[in-house]
Amino acid sequence: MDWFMIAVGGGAGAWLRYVTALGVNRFNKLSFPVATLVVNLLGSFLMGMAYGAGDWGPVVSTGFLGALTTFSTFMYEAFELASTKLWLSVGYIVISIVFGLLMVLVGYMIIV
Amino acid sequence: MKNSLAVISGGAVGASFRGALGTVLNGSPIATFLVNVIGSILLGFFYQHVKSNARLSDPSKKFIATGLLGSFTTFSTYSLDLLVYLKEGRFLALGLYGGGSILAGILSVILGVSLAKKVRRL
Repeated sequence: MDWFMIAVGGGAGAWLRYVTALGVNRFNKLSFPVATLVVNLLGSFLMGMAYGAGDWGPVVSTGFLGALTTFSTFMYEAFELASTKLWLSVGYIVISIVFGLLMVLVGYMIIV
Repeated sequence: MKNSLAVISGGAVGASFRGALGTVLNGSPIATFLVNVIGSILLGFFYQHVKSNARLSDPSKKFIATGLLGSFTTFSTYSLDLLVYLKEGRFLALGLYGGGSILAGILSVILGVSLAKKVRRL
């Protein structure tokens, strides 16, 4: 039944990512992918908490948090940015990785 | 409403595929690396395809790009993998996996985009 749990969490995570993008993009007039950064950092923070707590199971960890965050969109946006503003693309990648790691660590330390 | 349903159903399918691959590979970071690379190739292909061939409806695009491929790939597990390497003091693995995922991801998008351009010319 694991795949069913993952599917339920995955649908919810994808939907939250979608509505966050709708909300953020209403205000974000920058040529910087703020929406993806927001869900990726939030998801990393919660994943750190899940790791600290032991495991939040297939629904939350694999399904919801896996689907709330995205790597393919992150990479596509970095690729698109690179064709117009290379330094912004590099900044986007560095900020995502450094703060992603920091968020996981903070989430983990809050729980442990 | 149609878009939300498309994203939710696509997300359910994409996450299940990721879960299935993770089970096969015992949840190792290699599984995360693989889904992220495959998903990036497919998203690059899809966006390029849509650019030159816009006959798809909006919900279909949302189902594939935001739902299916967005959820098939994951950033939170990638970040967690980095933390685990850091905690274990495996700095070589940290650098290879951290940098390798990004390098492979960008190259995957480029590969997908150029494949879509080739298919278009056929």
